[in-house]
Amino acid sequence: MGAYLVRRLITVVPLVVGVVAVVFLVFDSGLLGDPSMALAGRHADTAMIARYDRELGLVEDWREDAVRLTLHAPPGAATGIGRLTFHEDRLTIELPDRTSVLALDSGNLRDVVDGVQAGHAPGQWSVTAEIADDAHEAGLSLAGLGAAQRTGSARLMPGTPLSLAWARPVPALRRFLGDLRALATFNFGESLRTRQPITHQIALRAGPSLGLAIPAFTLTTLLSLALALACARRRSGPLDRTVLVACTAGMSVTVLAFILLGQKWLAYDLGLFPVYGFSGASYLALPILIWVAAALGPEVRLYRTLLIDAAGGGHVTAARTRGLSAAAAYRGHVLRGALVPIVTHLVGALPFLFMGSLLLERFFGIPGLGDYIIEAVFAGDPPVLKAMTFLVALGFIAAHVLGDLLCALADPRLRLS
Amino acid sequence: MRRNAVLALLACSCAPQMDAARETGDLAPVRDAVEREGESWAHFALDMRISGFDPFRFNDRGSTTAMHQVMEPLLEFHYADRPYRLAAGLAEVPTVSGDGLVHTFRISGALFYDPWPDPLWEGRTREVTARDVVGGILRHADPHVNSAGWWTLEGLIEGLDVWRAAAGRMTPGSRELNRHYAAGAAGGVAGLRVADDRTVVFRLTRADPRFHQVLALKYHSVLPWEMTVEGMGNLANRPVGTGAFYVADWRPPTRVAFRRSPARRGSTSPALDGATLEAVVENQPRWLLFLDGAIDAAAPDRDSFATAVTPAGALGAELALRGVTLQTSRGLDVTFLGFNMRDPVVGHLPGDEEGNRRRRLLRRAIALAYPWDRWFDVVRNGAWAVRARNCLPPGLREAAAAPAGEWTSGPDLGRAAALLAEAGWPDGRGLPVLTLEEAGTGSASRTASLLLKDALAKIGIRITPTANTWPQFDAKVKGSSAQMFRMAWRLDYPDAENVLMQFYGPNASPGPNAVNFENAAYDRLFERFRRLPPGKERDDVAAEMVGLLNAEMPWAPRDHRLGYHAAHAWLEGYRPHALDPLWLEFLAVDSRVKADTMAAWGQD
Repeated sequence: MGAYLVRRLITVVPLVVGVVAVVFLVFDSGLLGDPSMALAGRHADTAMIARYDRELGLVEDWREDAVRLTLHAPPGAATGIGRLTFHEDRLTIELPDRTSVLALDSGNLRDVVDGVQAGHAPGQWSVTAEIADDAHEAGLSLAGLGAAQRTGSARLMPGTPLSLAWARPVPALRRFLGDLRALATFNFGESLRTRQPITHQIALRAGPSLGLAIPAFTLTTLLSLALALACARRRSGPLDRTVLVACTAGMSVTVLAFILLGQKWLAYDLGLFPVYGFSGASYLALPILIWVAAALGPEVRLYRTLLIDAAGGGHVTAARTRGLSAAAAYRGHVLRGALVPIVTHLVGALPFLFMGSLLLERFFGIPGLGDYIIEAVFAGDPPVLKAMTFLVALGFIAAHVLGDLLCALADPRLRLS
Repeated sequence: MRRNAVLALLACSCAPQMDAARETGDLAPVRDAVEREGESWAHFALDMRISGFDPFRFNDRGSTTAMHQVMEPLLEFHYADRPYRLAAGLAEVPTVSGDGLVHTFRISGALFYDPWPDPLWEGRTREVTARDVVGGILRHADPHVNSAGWWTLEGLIEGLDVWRAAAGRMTPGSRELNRHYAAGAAGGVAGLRVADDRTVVFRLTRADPRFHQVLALKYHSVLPWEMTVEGMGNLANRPVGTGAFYVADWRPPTRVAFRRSPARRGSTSPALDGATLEAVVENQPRWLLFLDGAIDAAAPDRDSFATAVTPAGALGAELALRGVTLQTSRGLDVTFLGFNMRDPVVGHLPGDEEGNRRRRLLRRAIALAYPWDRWFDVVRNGAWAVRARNCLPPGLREAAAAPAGEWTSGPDLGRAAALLAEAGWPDGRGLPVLTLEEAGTGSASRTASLLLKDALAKIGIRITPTANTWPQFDAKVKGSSAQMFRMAWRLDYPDAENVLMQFYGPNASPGPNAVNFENAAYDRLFERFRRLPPGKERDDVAAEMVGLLNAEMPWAPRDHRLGYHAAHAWLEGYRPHALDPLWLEFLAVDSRVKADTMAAWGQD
């Protein structure tokens, strides 16, 4: 048994690394949007986005004011605004008269500065550039600029030097290892959106989520097992038929409908429960009731099928023909036979329990983890999503190990080394 | 027995939450965060979350609404007057020099109040000084802060951009940077002068009527120098301001309780003892809370609208009987269909005159075919918007004189088809399938995009709507990879400039010019426009710019939203305000009316 446990735990490590890798790749692909851009808001500019890149650890060797560009107006000219555009490894400077354009391709910082100086013509609209000594020594290149500043544009105003930050992208592997280290030490950092420490938020929110999920899950399981047993023992009897019809009806109604109806009718119209909010256990009663009502249908049907399967086994028939009472046969053989699939099903649901129910939490104002995840998805908050995905994955793996152990206890045949 | 076990489980699982809440004492500092017997409290719900109280970082409506109760900028948009006008906030309306460059603000002598344990000052209060104002401006300019509000000041205050560049070269938290801040407040920035303890003098690089407007935004709420510059306290979670209320309890990101600030005395002291503001993001619970009397005001949602409001726009009979009042308000916004002008199929490519002519006709055809009438019925519930004549929301001074676009008479499928044929794609032949990016994955945005898809199919234009979460949509628009997209612009301040700047070339993506409209003639007009004081000349330039936009059609303006606001009989002084939706300061609750009304409902 001990060896079995150790072996099982060793296989968990690559699993966790794999999960973190998948999460990392999903976020890195940009499929979920660009957190730096989202944070910068609707009045974003490229420099602001680049600063968020730096905050997110996407770039390093940040050098504020590595190059300073100054726009010079010709004598007697009205004021004007020039423009600087970055696109990948190309830097374009457009002067206010819209005629002169300096375009500079990839090179090191010194080449770029020389290129700008070469285009400088006193007496006309023109630009000069200065380079910071340490930036020059670091040998940062325009490709680095592309990563730090991304594609975008900036304004050049006469009399106000435009200072360009320069940075280097951090290689994906290093960022991945950073993620892995942070998650492995449960150092989740801060939410990008709200600046609240994630670990603290999870600790705060786990209570309400579990307060909803554990009673609801326990009630659902006990009720549906009891009903399924009753149905399975009198197959096709009046009770079985009624329950089947009720279950099918319940299953064809969405959870959302249960929530809307329950809240409107039971809470608002009849006043049996609070409509919304969370200031104590009484606020959980209605959400728990709705959870049980919505979950009961599929659960009863599943357990009923499992029990009937087990009851059809040859050994049960044999026991009955030898005079064992129906009740004793159920207790000793049918339940025991159905135990393994039931346990497997139950532990599979465990990791999702701590998230509560996303919709229930949202509609009833329960400040739980499900709500936390939804909000992070809508707002594009990678640190929160990474932490939560990681925790769900850990929970999933833990539940499966637990499930294997329980099944091994329940059925000696599964204990084969 | 079994039930007891369940209850015990329930109790156990709740316990850690309660303990944790106690541990974060820093978020609930005050003994009396809840309503006491005999006190007058108001309760409100928001349809969005509250990120926090840091005005340098947060600008979501939930956060600004919460900030508005506890901190004040130098100027504010008057609570009751429409059209919106600037009024005194923490300072009187400033005196401005003849050339429009020098602005002198006199601060009123308000007090900061610090309710938190371990307060910044003995006695918890301190008078606001000019240095506090300057500290906030410098913090916005500090590149290490990466302020969300820097755009309001960039290039505007003499010497501030140079101070910013220098600050960027220093290490955050270093003594050098601290000295730089101190120097900035002591005359180191030419355009930012502390004349005396109560007087700040700004010197601008150009006359800009926008300056006072942006100073009234929440970004420029005046906070203590100790917090903005010296890094004491906690801007996001422990606000200290001069507002009529202080934060008595803060459960990020869903609930704030406010209490009347003891630093406010006499006529400036509000009538309410306290108030709660809760984020209730789903419609049904928000409306039920209102009907229950648990919150004092709410906007009827899609499902309740039919019973709450009659087709004539009056209050439904049942609610009227309960003494509920209904007010409508014009939002300061515009919704539109945007075309990415860098896109080779619908946009504008430099040098390709013939192609640009054809693509301009295509954009006009799409705008003409836009199924406004169906849209109004289906998406706006037949009531929630007025049609846009052009990109400027009605209520802005410049909107009245600006020309209406040709689509205003539509939808006109015949004319749209004719334009499409003129563009060289008769019945859409030869035109590739276009992509419409939707911000939202719900049924509302799906319905909206299907309406447009069906309407355009009638003239032979095929489109593929794509659902996106907001971050995905945002990345496509800011990255210039969206082709067409539906979007809304809620104005930051009530000035046509805040709309017209969205077409200014240098503001292209990832900036507010999301459609990447670049037009030299327009840019020249805009540069002139933004220096002009309100008046005939400014109206004329705006009209010319709007005319140019109507012809070029970088976006097809669709509608301006209308708000419906129901409030209970006991709530006094409530007025919808498009910029700051909640002013607790001016509200009162009549507890007798409340008790009577609640009792009468109970007997229903």
